[in-house]
Amino acid sequence: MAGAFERFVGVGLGIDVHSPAPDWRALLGRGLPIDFLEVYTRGAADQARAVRAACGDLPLLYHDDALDPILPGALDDQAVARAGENMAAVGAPWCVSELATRRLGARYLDFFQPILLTEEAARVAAEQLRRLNAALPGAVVPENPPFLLPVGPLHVLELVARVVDQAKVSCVLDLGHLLSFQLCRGLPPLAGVDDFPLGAVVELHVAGAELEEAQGQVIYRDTHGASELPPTLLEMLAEVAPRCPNLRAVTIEVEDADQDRVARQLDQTRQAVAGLLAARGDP
Amino acid sequence: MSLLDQMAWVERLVRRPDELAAARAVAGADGEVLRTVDAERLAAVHETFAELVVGRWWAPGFPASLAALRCPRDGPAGVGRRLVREAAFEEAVGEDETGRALIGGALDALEGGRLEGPPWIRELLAYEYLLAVGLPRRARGQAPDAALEARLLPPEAAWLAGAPLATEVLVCPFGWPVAELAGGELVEAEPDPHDRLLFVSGGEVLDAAPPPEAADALQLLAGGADEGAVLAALGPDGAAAVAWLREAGALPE
Repeated sequence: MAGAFERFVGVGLGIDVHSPAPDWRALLGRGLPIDFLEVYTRGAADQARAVRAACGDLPLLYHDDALDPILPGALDDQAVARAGENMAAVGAPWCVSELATRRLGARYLDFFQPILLTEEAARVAAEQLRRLNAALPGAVVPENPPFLLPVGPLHVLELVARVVDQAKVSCVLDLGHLLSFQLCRGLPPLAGVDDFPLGAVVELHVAGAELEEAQGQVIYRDTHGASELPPTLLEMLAEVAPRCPNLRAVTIEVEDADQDRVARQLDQTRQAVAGLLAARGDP
Repeated sequence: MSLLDQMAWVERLVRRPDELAAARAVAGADGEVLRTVDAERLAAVHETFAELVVGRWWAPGFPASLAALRCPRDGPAGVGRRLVREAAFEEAVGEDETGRALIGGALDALEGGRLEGPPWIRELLAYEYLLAVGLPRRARGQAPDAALEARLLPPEAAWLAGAPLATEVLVCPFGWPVAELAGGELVEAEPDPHDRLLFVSGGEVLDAAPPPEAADALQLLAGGADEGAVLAALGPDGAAAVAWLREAGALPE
């Protein structure tokens, strides 16, 4: 783990460079308390370089969506090369990759399919993460994916713990995705956290979401910046963040948000981790 | 069965929840995984998935067709759920960029009695397809799905190109007032046989109902005739047709 991320950096924004809102350049010009950006480029290294050039000394992370660590078989060499190029372009010490895929054989699904919650799926993901980490200039850290329909006997935190242990990697805990899983299983928001190796968590994610109802079931719509942060998420963040001894970053994924919503979510999130920010030396 | 097979089962169940019993009947450890699928949750996710697909993929380009289709058992609300069940859905490219999943699925379902629509539904599907997919793909230099177009468009539809035409022009006969139907202007339509000219000019898809002689003039021009020959063949109406084509942008100034 290199540079700024050797310690807790603070609260940053996850941006999609292809999304018209929010305009990340305008955000940088507003003087908001943004401690870092996590850049999602869909592999476009020229866009990654543009963000790096515009951000001065602001620390950057990279969020990939094509490495597909849950798929068995040979790695996609082109996807690995693109991820490496993007990581180098932004100078990211790690690359976030969800335990999910948009590919199934030759088909592109368009919608994420999360990892199956089985021992076999955990073993495959761990093996692929080890291979990815050997092939890339920095670490690939797995992120728990969003769930609408969990399949398999494990709790998602049990699965991620197995992946982390077997691959010897750190991880990202997306609290909205965790909540989506708990809602599927009818569990409290933080069920399973006490038994999870929180020392492996280097990054926490929050994002806007909508909770909808279909046929009597609660559906978690992970809408990111198109919605407000559910209060439950902020409560989860305030509870979990201080318990992660190696936490380096708290990311708000804000694509599709307007500028005011970004400012509001920054304020809400910073309040939730005010203790950590204060310990860092912030007012 | 492999991990990939299990994942394929799950993807399929989200589209076809009625196959859950078959999934649960799979033997061995794989069946144990599939038997963890919650039936009530699956039904809700199936509904949500269909809504997402309709909203993200199809509603922007095919609003009138989607509004006109209905499922025999579930009415209009069942259309999306029916379409994601169809085999054609598995042939979607990206966000159904070629129209294969919607058009192929709708035609299969209409022919199989799994969807119903008014007598003009095929023409409306064709018209909205041309405006939303067929012509924009050509404008971007992307190949259309030739097999899909051969199935969807009437055999009399003709793509005309070559000097002196300014661009490739589709002359397509319709038997119903598709432009008005697409605009939601008609609740009940009467047959209205007419040709439509559709082409891309300046990056925009243009669509017009030309005067009757315009299609003949275009055929002659695309066949190599000059304007003089068109006028000789069609008389004064030919001159009007050529002027109309020029104003519409199908012929250069």
